[in-house]
Amino acid sequence: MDNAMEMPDDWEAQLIDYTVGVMEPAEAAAFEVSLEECRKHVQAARHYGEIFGLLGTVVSQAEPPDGHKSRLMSRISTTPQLPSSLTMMSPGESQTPASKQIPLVSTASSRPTPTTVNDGVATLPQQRARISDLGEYRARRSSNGILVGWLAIAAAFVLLVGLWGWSANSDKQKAQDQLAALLGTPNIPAGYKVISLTAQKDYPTTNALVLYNPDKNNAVFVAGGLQQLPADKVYELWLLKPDGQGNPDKGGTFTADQTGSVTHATTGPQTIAQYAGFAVTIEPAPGVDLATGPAVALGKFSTP
Amino acid sequence: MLDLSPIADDQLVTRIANGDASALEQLYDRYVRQCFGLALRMLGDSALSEEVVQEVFLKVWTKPGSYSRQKGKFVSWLLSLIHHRCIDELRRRSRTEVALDDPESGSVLDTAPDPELEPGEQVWVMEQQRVVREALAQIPQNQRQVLELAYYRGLSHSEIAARLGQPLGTVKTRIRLGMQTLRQLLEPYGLLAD
Repeated sequence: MDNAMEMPDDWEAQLIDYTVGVMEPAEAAAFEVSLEECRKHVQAARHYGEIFGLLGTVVSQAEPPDGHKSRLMSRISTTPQLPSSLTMMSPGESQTPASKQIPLVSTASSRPTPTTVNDGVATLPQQRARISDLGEYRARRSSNGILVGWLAIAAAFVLLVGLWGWSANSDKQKAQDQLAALLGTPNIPAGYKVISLTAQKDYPTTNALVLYNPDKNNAVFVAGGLQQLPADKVYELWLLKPDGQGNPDKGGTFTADQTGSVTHATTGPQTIAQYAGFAVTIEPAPGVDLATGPAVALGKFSTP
Repeated sequence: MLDLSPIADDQLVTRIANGDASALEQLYDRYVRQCFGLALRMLGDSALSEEVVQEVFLKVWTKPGSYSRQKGKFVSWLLSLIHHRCIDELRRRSRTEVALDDPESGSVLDTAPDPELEPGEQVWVMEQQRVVREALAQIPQNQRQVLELAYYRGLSHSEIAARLGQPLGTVKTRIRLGMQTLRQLLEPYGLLAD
């Protein structure tokens, strides 16, 4: 016997053989019939199927070569769905936008959008006054030139300021989009929660949150919009304790990548439910035991 | 608590059943790296892995009704399709004769978890991967070994027994006990569908 655990009963042993795929076909077919008969067994079957599928998540992910997606979508656009798979939508389902659907038969091209029609009336530009005094003209043109020069400089300044602002907003928007994508992550099971961390005054571009299970010791910190730090500094994550219960526990150090993003996993000495929240500070590399540096982001669990 | 499931997988499958190719595209973006990584691990051939992944997603498109919530989480079902397709390929091409000391046949726990996952949907993948790896690490090594040979190499009971020089009954017992232990370890995390 490999361990002290009780051997699974015969039915469960057959279920495992069936799930792992080592059962003979005829035996498997007969077993499938028995699967329908017992809800508890059905749940067990579902669980073992899930476990078997989850084994596939352990291997390292890999990016398929360029063009893989476009080839697939191209095949899909020319592959009809089987008739039995076309079902009525469930009540409450929103209509799929027509633009998103791949029709099984070609549809007529869309009507051209109507164009504005000019009234056809052309107005001739006003004739300029003839130049009678060339010297005056040259003086006027010179002052106009200087004015034009200053206007160009001012326009360039405004453009640069606008570009800088747009760039900063783009970075912040990108960070927000990344975190929105995290918040949009489906299928995270019940029990897991997310807390947003508030950017502190001097680090307004920071967007950060923590994914955690209150009953477990581990958490995942995700952030965007972080500043690049000099080589002698690091970001450090802290697990905050309730007031009066002592100094925060260390949650590890990290640096942001070139886009200002980071994903950092940590495991605390106790379950996350026993903490009051999270904070991130900037500390001397390779990190410190007590936070002394400026706070970058802070989030506290709301009290019931 | 924030709403973490705005567009669940089964909702996207429903949209696919109604001809929404963009829903399939979303599922592709969500899971292609896991699918391709698994296929590559099992087949060791990039071109073949590409084709397997294409075929599976094409099947999701042509027969979305073949998935239902009763079958568990969509990602588990999807990876099972990848797995079964790879097993078919391995058996067809007789690639099961991989030396035990081949790096690709080593334990999956010997490979580092994905280090460079980006924020976004990959964060949950990181956490899920960590949980499953931890659970695998907790089962006895001899149980883990036979499970990995069954899963990643598609070997039958008798093939595993022959490969490891162990009695057939021992192999069967270790697979069963290993799976039972994994179930007990993973259930508290809510990773197994109700």
